[in-house]
Amino acid sequence: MTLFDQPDSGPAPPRPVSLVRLSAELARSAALIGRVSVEGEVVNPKTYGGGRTYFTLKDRNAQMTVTVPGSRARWSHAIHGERVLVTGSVGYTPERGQILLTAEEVSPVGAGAIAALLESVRARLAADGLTERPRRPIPLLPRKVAVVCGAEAAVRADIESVVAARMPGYPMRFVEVSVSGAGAAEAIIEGLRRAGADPEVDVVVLARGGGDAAQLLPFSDESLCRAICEARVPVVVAIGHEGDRPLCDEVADLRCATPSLAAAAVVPSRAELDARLAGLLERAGSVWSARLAAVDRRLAEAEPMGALEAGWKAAESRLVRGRDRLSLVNPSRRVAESRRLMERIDLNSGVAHRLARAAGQLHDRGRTLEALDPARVLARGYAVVRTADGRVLREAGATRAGAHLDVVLASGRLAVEVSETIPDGAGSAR
Amino acid sequence: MSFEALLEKLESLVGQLSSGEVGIEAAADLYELAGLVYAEAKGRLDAVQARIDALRVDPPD
Repeated sequence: MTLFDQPDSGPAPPRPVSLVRLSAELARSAALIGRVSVEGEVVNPKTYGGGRTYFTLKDRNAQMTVTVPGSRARWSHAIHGERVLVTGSVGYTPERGQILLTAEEVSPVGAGAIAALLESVRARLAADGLTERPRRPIPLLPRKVAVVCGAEAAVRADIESVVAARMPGYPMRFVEVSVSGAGAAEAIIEGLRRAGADPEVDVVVLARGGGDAAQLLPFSDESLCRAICEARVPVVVAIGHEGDRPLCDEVADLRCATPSLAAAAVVPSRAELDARLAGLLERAGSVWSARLAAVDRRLAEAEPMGALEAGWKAAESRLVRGRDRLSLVNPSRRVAESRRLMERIDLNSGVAHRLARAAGQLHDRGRTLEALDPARVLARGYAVVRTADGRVLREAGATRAGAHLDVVLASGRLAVEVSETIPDGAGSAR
Repeated sequence: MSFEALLEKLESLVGQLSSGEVGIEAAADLYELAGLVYAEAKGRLDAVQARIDALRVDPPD
């Protein structure tokens, strides 16, 4: 048609064309439209053999037949009367003279339809026990952490800054996928699979910044939720949301509110772990030291000197063994720590001090014993007086004049006969 | 034994030592074992650090 039509020239002459050729031209024109996303209401969906579904998509006074191949059934949620967004391509089938929109994906549109879909998915997941499945623990020291996220710079930057703060350079693997729009759920599942395929990955984080129900729909996808449950390693999800939580929250091994929190949950903090280990070692040392002190007190209170001496020797050897063990444990970098620990059972500490004091007491009692040794008493000039039947005589009144007594001196003995007994209180001084 | 298992073991040993129900010689054994577990856990942490120092972050897919 030219730009300046002559008003009184007739309509353009018809171009003769065969039906086949006309159909082919129509088919080519339809193909030129390319991939589209079309919104409309679903009318009468019917599913046939192989899982292929047909329905009419209606909007105002336009309608079109939509077909969903069996292979795409997973990504299609067509419910009669519901409004949906169909992503696919238009084609003309000459054999049937039909314009057909072949769908890759049919997603609910509008809060109501989305909520209804999520409810039915949740019910199916719950029926299979997936929402109540036992959660896998997140390893404290994963060999490598994989992160599946969108290309948004913010999410990756947040995670990287947390890693830098906790343990810089920690082995991470970022897998970027499309996280919204048509095909997102499929892309995320593929990303999960790639992350898990790396044998060194011990945990996967699935992260996305905030979004509304429609944007987060891929994260409630049934196939994605099942893929999370079947993943080789624990999966942490951190999907920012402004409304309801996506369904993946209900099947993940751990759910965090933001990507930063997820990073903190999976990447170890060198400082925290060091402190925790050091604290435990110190507690072990102080408890052990208290036990030693308790034993020492019990020894000090025990009467028999033989037991005291034996106890002292045993405790001393345990002390030495304890110090030797400690020196085995001491890593060269923690010199300050081990020095503190060593001071507790060092010979200047209270425990060893008490043991030393006990040894001193032992020594004193030994000297007292020595002083009481009868032989030394005799050496000082005292004599032991015995009666004829061998009993030691202590009182003058226990014998009488004429009795025979035996006197033991420091050197030699005397056989004596009593001439007179003078008991105490009868006037003579002792 | 995983790192978390080592940490749990260490905590359990300290707990037993603190409980006071263990005899003095058994306590000595526990203390010695605690030292060994500590050394092993520390070694794991140091190994991770060494890996980091030798590795670079994987490029994105």
